[in-house]
Amino acid sequence: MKQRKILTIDDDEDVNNLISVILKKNDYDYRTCEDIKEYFSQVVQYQPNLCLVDLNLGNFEGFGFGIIETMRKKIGHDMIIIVMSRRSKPEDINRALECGANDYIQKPIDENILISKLNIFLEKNNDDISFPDRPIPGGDQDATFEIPMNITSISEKSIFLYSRSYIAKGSLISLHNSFFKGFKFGVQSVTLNRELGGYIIEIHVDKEEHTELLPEIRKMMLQCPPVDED
Amino acid sequence: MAVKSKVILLIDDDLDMLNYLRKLLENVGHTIHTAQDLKTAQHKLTTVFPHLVLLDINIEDENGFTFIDEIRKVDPYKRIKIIMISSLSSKKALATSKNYETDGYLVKPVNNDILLTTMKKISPNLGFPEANKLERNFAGVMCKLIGNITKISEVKLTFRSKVKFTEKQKLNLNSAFIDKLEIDHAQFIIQKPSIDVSPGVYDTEAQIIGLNDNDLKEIRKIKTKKG
Repeated sequence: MKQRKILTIDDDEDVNNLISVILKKNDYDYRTCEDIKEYFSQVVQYQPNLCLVDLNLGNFEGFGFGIIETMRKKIGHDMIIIVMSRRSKPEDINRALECGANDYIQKPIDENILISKLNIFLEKNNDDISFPDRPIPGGDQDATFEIPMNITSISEKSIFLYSRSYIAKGSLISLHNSFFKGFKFGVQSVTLNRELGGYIIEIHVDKEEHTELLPEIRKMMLQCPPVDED
Repeated sequence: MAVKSKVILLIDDDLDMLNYLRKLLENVGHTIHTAQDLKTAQHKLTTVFPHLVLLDINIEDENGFTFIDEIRKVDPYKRIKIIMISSLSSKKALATSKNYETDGYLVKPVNNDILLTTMKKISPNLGFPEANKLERNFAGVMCKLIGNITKISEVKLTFRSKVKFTEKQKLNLNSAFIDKLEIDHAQFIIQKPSIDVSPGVYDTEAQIIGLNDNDLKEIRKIKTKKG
């Protein structure tokens, strides 16, 4: 089970106190600090699992997003960093995430949100606190998502792709890159590849449906160097 | 007899010859493209990438041979088969053709039987080997799938799909509903492996990160229970 040591840095003593009360109530270990120097020394000494960082620390040159970048440089990417801020514009939030923060909580801190996020990040299942799931009406459920894949071999009849996630046979997929431009295929077979630790997905090229794709496939096949024959 | 349909490019400035060859080869089941000059031939070559080229070497003042170099530019490993057609059975033409290493030679007027025999002989060898080592920028591809987002809370959502996730990863997820809630700026992280619902159907939980208080308000507007 993951440990639960939280280190908070905020130059506002009241915020630190509030967080301490919440964390104590929920059986988390915690330490707080008010300046960046103390923060880095605590990271070394205390070795927290997660840090709560005020995005608007006052006494740091280039404060704000620069703090996160500096933290990442110094302590690496394993540490979970959640930034706190009154700033709430999506652009600001995304910038914080791009700089290396794992998540964002708006101030004033909501106890339930804070604990829920800590539980998820630190993999503690606590259904007492978790927020109720709200069912989404059937008509609004449609979604699309993307997963990256690599083409392992291609011919005019079939294409094989490597995927780290398992995709069920019969799934309808569309492929996107400068070459595929959204052509649709059905998954014909899925094979576990133990060596690579993922799956090889087979799809078939259809003469009618994929007419425009065939010359591109031939072009690619012509440019591919021969495999050495033993 | 069933024939695997191949893509053939015919290059000849003689329209009658082109039509004759086209009819014959289409009857056998192949897909035919034609060109009456080398410029058109070049264009067709680089848009069609045929399995076989029938090339009139007398085209454009006996410059048909130069086109072979053009073919090799797009086909460095010599997989496109080339049959030359000449109206001269001159020794010079034959010798030059040997220098160029092609796959066959026909003399005009082309005889039906000889053409069909030549095609029969070459057909098993038409086609390119499977490509296994692709350049980086072609090998990488994004696979899009559909799913259903069935529930949502202030910190996570659950969606149902035909994909079983096993690793922690950031998920690129889009839906009209997410847009409607105006939380499309949020990021979604899969923290736990998907759960089997039924064969080929999986439920996946994704943590929602980067929400501000307004976003939470929007989510809270969604009813928690039916009715």
